[in-house]
Amino acid sequence: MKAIVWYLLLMSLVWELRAQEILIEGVNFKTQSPPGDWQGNMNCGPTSALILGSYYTGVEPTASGLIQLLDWMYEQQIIVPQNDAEYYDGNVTSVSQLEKILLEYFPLGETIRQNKKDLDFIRKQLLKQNPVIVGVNINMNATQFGHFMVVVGLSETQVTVHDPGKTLGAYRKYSLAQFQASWATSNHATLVVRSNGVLWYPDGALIQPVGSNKVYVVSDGGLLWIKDEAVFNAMSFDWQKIIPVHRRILDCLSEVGTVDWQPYREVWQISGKYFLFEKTSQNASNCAIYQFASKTALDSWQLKQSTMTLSSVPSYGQGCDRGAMLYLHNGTLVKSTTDLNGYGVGAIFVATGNGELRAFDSWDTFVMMGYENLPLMMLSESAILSAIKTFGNPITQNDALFCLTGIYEIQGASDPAEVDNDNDGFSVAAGDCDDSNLAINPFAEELCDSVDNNCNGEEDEGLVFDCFMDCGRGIHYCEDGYWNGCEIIEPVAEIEDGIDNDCDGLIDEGFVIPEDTDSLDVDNDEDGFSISQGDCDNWEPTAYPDAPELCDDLDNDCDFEIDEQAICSAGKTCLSGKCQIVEAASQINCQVTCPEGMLGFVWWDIDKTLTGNQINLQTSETELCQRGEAWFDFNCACDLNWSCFNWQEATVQCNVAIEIKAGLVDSSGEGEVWFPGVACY
Amino acid sequence: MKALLVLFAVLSLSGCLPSPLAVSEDHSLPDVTSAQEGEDDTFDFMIQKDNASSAWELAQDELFSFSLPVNWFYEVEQNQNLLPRSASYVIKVKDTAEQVILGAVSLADSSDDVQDPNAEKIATEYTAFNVLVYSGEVDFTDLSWTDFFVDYYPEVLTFESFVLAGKPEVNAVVVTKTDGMWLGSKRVFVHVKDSFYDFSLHTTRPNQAKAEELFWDFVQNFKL
Repeated sequence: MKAIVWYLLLMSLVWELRAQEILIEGVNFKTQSPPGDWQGNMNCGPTSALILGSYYTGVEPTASGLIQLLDWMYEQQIIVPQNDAEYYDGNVTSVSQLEKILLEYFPLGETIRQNKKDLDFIRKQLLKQNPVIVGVNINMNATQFGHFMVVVGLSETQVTVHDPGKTLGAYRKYSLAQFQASWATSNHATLVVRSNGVLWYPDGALIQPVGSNKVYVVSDGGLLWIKDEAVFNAMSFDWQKIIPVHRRILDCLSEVGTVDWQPYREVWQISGKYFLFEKTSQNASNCAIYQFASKTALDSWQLKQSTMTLSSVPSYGQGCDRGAMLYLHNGTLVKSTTDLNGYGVGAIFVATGNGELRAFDSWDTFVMMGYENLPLMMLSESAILSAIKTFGNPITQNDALFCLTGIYEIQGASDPAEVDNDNDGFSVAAGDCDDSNLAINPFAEELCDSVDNNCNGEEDEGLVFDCFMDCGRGIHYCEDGYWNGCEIIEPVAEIEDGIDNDCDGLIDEGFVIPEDTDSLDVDNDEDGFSISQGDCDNWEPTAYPDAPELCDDLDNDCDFEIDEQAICSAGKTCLSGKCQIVEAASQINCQVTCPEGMLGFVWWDIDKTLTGNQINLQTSETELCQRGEAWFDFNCACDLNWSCFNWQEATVQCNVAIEIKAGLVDSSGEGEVWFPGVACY
Repeated sequence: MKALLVLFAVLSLSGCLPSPLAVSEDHSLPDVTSAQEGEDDTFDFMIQKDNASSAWELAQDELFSFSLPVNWFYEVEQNQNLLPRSASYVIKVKDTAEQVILGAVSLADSSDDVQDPNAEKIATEYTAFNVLVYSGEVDFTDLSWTDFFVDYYPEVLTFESFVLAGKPEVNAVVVTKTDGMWLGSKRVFVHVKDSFYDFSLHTTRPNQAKAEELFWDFVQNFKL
């Protein structure tokens, strides 16, 4: 059953990746009440932690589970009960307290806690199938009270959250702008479990399920448990290369054996060649000798033994078995300094199957498998070719997400709530509010039909558009399932032309000027101001001194500026008198130049990189805005090994206004170029 | 102040409560002050009840004018990132100089294993009044309470009208049922002209009744 659910969830994930939105399905939702009632309930933090804990441990988050957690928090004096509130209404919590829950109550291994405006971090965590706890506000409203939610999805324009503060809080969507404004009120408080949700790794990968103290090495499609620390060290495994994974991987890669022996090893150099001499123990008689394909291959094994230079094989090795040639150690990450085998400069590979080298098909695949934090070897093409036998197929997201054992076949779900009856990709359990209608699901477009098409608990919400007619500006909105036509809210001014300009049934009303009245003192548009009183447009009722500036191509407040600071709804900006979505596509060119002998690096967009002594970056506002705000980072390195670097050595010139800062957003060793004139939506 | 309270009591007793919507049968919600007059005056902050004129002081901002107890603190913040369904101003009045965090999430402390120095400046004992002012975003003139709550507080299920003591012309409601997170031990919504005001009371002090009394006085004296 669980296997089937995970299969469906993973199918959903792949579909979402294609749709440019990352969404984690299968994160069970729980409201923060019960226990406690809604009045004064402050359980959003513990409930968010419970949602994560339940996700990683594979149990349902329940009210009784929340009660047990609150009891533990009271017992540990992490919080105290509120005055004048129900006992299980909880109390204010901070991110560090939630981290304590994840680490000590469940426990879930490692967490990452930070206060950075880093949407790319959230995106990466979602790629890794990790829900992210964020500090925001009730209703995602930056002016309301502080609140915790769990981010489960992200696209270029929207964020999807589990909001424990609502009864229908699962998979709610908010605009990215609204989320960012709210997130900022908590100083971008962010908390996530360090884990990776993929189901397959190549041979040689070291993995550790979250919350487990067992470390495994992947071998022949199965898992070998590395018995203890002594064995781990004796086998020259690298602690830095352990990848924390979701424990569901154990449903896919089964434990097939144990690594429990500590070999005795020597490294020999004979006539310029390198050999590994190995015995099961120092006193054992059986032994084997392996030859390394090259010095690079030897280095990748990270053996602790010092190399013994010999003229020939010593007598105690004469009778040993001759083992296979040793290539790059399985699991070694390699980056080539040049274009290797047509994969492009900067491509990253992983060694597997003793001699096979496989590239990652994309940066996203590399990240979602958890490799981006692991050490890698920067090698020349010749060094790499000396240490491998062949290139394998690139590793794709499909490889990473699907089991090779075939246990995730669809066999039919037995729980009716988990069956997708209308084949729209969502079951009732996954948020489909009408599982008999293909057009109704959490990702459907909201239509004007008195139906909750997108299953967010609201009917026909947000269906309002500006419209323009001869009579003036109006709004076109959905009411009771029907479009209203265009309701004029800002009629044009009536002028003395024999026509009913403002469609109020009157012709040229207001044009009878009493005799002996100075026309400068007449308030033609009845806005309370005449020309002598400062009205800059006496035929326009929306224009008068200190009037609210509207997006209408008029100087409403009579300050000789048109549409300045006019307010538009989220995602739109005022251009040419209309609130409209700005397609940021104008070309931006920058030149980053490092001193002679140094190598420049530029990183922009989500994952784009350029390298060279003089870099000509040709990009656009759209690309620069992929990070939420318009900026890119750069650096100058002495060499490809980054033996030294200094971003301040670089000169940066762009065809638009820029601000250069020390690394505020990214690592402190890099410089950042910000574009104050570029507004991201 | 007392004169206003007496007026309110008389209005209530004589059945003068207007009924723009449903009128609360439970008078305990708005009628909180008179019953507490004779109770214990000891409080964590010193308010001289016998001399109302010196116990309160006037705070005047460019846009707002309101009274607050002497030695209290206030902050008026304009919402720079005006987004749909968000208040244009936030006013916080509190009885402590320390930072008061309203809601269920406190300031996140440092992620570098170094305790945030602000952490010790966050008040654990406080009484605070929070006012969210919605104006200038859309035309509120003819917006009904139902539409307002749908747009701004979707968790509100039911609410009841009542008359704010001394301000019979003011259109005020109190929320009675929600299906979502709802903070503030007292929460009053007022609609005046083209603005909506959301007043809420938050206290961790032991004397809740005294805090409520001050809250109602604060609301009544707020220049709408």
